[in-house]
Amino acid sequence: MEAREPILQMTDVSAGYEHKTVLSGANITVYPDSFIALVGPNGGGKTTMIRLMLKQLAPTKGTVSIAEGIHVGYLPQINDADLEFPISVLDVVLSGTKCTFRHTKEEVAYAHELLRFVQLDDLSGRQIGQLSGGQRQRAFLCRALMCKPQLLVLDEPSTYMDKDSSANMYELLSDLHKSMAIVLVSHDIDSMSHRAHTIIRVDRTTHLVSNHYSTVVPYTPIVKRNFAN
Amino acid sequence: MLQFEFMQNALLGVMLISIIAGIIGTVIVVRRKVFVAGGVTHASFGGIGIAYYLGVNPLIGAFLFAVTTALSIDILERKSKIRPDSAIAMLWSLGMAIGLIFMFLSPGYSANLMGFMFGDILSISASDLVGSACLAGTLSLLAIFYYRPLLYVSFSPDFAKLSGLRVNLIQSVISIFTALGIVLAIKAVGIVLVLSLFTIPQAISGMFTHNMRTMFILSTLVSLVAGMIGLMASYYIDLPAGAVITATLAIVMVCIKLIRR
Repeated sequence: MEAREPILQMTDVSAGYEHKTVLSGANITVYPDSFIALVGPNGGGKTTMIRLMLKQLAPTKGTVSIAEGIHVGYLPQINDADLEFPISVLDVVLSGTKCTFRHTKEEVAYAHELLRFVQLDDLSGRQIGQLSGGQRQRAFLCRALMCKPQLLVLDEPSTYMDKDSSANMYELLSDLHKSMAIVLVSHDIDSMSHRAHTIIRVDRTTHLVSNHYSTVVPYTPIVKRNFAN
Repeated sequence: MLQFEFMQNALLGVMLISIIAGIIGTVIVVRRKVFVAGGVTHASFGGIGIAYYLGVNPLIGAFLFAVTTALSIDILERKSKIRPDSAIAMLWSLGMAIGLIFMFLSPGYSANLMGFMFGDILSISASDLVGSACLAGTLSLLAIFYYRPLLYVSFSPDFAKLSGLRVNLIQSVISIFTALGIVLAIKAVGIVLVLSLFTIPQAISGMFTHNMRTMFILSTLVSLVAGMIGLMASYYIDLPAGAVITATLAIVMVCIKLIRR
C-alpha cells in the first residue's frame, strides 16, 4: 500500500480569454492510471481545461503542474484537419514527434507499429482525406501516441463517428489505458459512466460527479505495453 | 532565337522562376494562403511606385513592401480582432493606391506601369538573374533539409507547436521567402498574372500526387513547360509572355481534367 503520485494536478485554476473568465476554481488530479471523463455543456470550459493541460493556455489564477518527464499525447477534435492536404497517413503519424531534419529508423518503425495496433498499416501510404472518419481518427490517435505519452488527452474522440467506429475507438482506449492515464472530453455522460473511473462535470468550474478511483490502493506498477507483440 | 543575350537571360529566368514558383507556390497552396499571396503581390506595387519615384531599383521597394505586408498579415491573423481576409484586402488595395500615386508623380510612368502590371520577361537583367538564382538555390536546399518541419507546420500548426517545433519562427521564414519569390516573379509575369504561376501548376500536380515533395518537383516542371511556351510565343508572335503562360497553364489544366474524368 502506498499513495500514488499525481502526474498532473490543477489547483484552484481560473482561466479565460480577453477579460472573459471561462473557468474559475477548477481542480483536477490525474494519476498514472486515471481514466477521467470531462462532461458538461458547450461553452462550459471543457476545451479550456484541455488547453490548460496541454500548456496551450496559461491560467490567470492557480497552478497547473505536470510531473517531470511526463509526455502528454493529444487527440484534437476531428474537424480540425485539412483533409485535402497532400500528406500520407504515415506522415501524419510521424508528425507526432518533434522532427527538425529527418526521422530515425526507430521512429518510422514505431509509427508502423502504432498503425498496426489500430489496424491501419495497410493504408499507411494513403492520403489522409481518403480514409473514413473512423479510420482517420485512429490515424490521429497514432499521431498522439508517437510521443509515448504517459497521459493521453482526447477532445470528443467519437464525434461524427458511426457506432462501430466509436465502439472500436473505445476498445482501443481501454487497451491503451493499461499503460497510460486518459482524460477524455465527452458530451455523452451515459457511455462514459461505465468506462471512466472519474467523471467531472465542467461548467464554469469543476464538479466531481462520480469517483470510483482510490488514490491508495494496492499498487500495480504500470506495465509498458509493447506494441510489437 | 537563343543567339540573343536577352533571350538567353529570359530562358534562364524562366527556369529559375519555375523552381521558385514550384516550391513557394506549393507551400502557399497547401497552406491555403493563396489570398494572402494575392495581397502581398498587389501591396508590393506600393513599394515599386515609391522606389520608382525616388529613382532606386523598384524591386527593392517591392520587396520591402511585400515582406512588411506578409509579416503584418501573419501577425494580424494570429493576434488581431480584425477579420484576416478584410485586413488582406485593405493592405492589397492600399499598396496599389500608393503605387499608383507615386507612379503618376513620376514622369513617363505609363510604359513602366504596363511592365509591372503584366511583366516583361525579355527585359530580365543579369542582376535579376543573380537574385533569382540565389533564391532558387536557397529554396531548394530548404525544401530538402527542412522538408519535415515544413510539412508538419503546414499541415497542422497547432499540433506542430505541441510537438515542440518553433512554429511562429518557421511561419515568418515562409512569409519572407514568399515575399521574395513573388517580387522576383513579378518582373517576369507581372503583378496581375504572378498568382497563376504560384497556383495553377500546383493544382495540376495535385491531380497526380498526394505528396508535397513530389508536388514541388511536378509544379516546377509544369511551370517550366508553360514558361517555355510563353517565351516562344513572345519571341515569334510578339504576344505578352505572362499572358501566354497563364493561358497555357489554364488550358493544360482543363485538358487534364477532361481526360481524367
